[in-house]
Amino acid sequence: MNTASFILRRLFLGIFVLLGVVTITFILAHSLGGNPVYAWLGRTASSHPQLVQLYTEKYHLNDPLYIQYYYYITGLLQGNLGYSPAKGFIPVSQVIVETFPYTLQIAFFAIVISIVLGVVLGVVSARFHHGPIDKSIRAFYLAGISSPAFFIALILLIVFTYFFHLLPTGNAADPSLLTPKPITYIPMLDSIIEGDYAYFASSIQHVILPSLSLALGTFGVVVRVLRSSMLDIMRSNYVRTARAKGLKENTVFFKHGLRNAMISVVTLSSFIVTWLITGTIFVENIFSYPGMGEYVFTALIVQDYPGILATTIIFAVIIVISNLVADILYVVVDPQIRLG
Amino acid sequence: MEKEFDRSVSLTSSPSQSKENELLRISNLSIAYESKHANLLALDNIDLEIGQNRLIAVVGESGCGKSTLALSIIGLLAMPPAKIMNGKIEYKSINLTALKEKDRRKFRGTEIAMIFQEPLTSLNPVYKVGDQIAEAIAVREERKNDRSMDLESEVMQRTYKVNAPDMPSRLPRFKRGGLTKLLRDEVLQVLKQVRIADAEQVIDRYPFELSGGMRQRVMIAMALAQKPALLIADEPTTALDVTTQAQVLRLMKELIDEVNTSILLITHDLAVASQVADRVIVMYAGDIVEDSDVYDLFREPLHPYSKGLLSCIPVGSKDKAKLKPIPGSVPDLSKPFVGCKYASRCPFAMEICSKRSPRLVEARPNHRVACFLYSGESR
Repeated sequence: MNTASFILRRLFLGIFVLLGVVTITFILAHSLGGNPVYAWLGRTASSHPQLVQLYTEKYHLNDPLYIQYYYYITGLLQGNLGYSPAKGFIPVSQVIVETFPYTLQIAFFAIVISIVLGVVLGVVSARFHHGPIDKSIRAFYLAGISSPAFFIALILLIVFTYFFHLLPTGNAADPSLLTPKPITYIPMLDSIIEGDYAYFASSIQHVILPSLSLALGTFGVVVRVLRSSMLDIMRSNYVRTARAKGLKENTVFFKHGLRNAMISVVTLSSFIVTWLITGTIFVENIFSYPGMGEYVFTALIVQDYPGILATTIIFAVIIVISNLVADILYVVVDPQIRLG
Repeated sequence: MEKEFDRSVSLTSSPSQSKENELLRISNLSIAYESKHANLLALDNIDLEIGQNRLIAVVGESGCGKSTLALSIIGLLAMPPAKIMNGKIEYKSINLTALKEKDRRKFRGTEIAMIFQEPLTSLNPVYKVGDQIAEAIAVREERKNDRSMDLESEVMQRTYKVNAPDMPSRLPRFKRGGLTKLLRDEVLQVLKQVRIADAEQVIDRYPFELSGGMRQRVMIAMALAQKPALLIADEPTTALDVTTQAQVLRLMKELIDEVNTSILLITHDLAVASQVADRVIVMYAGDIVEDSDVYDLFREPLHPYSKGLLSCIPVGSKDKAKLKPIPGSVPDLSKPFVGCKYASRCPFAMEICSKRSPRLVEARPNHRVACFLYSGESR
């Protein structure tokens, strides 16, 4: 089976995964109970009962659940994610397009930092295992793993923003700068394309703290997995063979050891993507970063179920894709695995 | 580094001492595994010498120190926990135990190579067989060109014979797109040398795509590609089935003269030793108890332990029930021991056996044994 047909088949199966996610989330969101219109309208609901009546009918809230589900799915298939009561009934898709790229920015940097930091420290830790360097790295990552992201976020805020004024907080970039024209809809990418380096530099400064506070909580898992699998591998028979060939210890370590240990990092990477992308919700709220996290929160509170469903779908799509990418990477790093 | 070499030279290399075709001489070697609670003496004052182009088998049961001996010769013993208590391992009159790891490494592969018991796990799963062999060749070529090898010390120069005059002396490289034509041709040649018929296919296979016997052949090919003077084979056929075992053993026997190497075959199986070895060394609990020409040993084993081992070989006669295991068990090596370690199991044990430990003496011409029955001390 070749790679293209494998990817197509996995994408096809992914559709069913998404359908499952939509269905379950739909049922859960609608079993919150009560008429959500009261939550949507807030105080206006009691003074204008005819408005409640109007919205209830407009959004088919009195119909049986399966009828509502039918309306939602047909809308979804036409690319209509519904209208967001939390945002004054503008299309949910518009809210997503405006906020999700920022979430992507944080998540991207968090993933890069945690994997790079994890691999580098894992390698150093395994190369000098049981030495003082190894011990300090272990202390460092254990502190990271044991602290919740919001705690790390607060510490970083206090240190870097409050005491040293090194890095800004709030917003995705300096508010005095104009957001670049949307080309890819990802502001950082757009700023590079358009040559707006001032905006790019500013948005890097704004993204460091949120993504770092996410990454510090997860990179330790990479260190731990890489270190232990590296130590196992360095005791393996094929490493002994490599040494018997007369190879330098560094060649043995990197070419024969690390190459094999990276298989476990690839396995881990799809989990890390999942943790970090969902972790953005909390971190964005702490740093007032204009990503999707704030919307997820309000949507949950005011029972904005088109919003709840849409954001869940987006997370699900990312998880499906990251698993697919991990599976493809597997084949690259481990020749014993064939697609199929 | 220089000083390190010089010391080893002054210690060991008076050419008159070493015999003409002597390759390896181990003298008084004791190795212990240290732990918090006890030190386990794995090798107890071993004396051994290996000539060129010989196939010598070391036979003994599990835990007798065979593998410790093999790993100490190639320098892959994990230290700690292992520790060389005393003794020397001299390779071409260079004391290997006095060398630092950096110099020790330069003997691995191209001078002393090793193949292992588990062909299934001894090859790196993520690289193609051809690339792994090419890497071994690259090490060899690199050393041939490495000036630091012969620059600093006259010893290295003497040791470092140029093994492959047929190869142009330039460094083969790993390229992204695969092996260079030159390197690929040599890999193919080595694969054919170990009687792999479809070398053209095998070269591009991953280890997991090959059978156990094929993998062991690849391991042998990889070791021989470096043209070592001594090949240590630690239980090379134990994981293979009987027909494959016979093929691999025959191959090793044939290759001795073909590639000009000596083989130290470590095995627990006397039958294997009898099929291929010129000389057999019997080990028991960290001691060499008998060292003899293979024919002499099988015709007339001297040490009671060797006799016991021989009677354990099934002979395919009608009385199948008559296999005779040796009663008793190996003494605890973590405690200081007085006397012969085999005495408690020995049917011929005498008074002296529990008081002193026997020395390895030449009881017959070229037949050494460590037993008071032959030392003349018992009476």
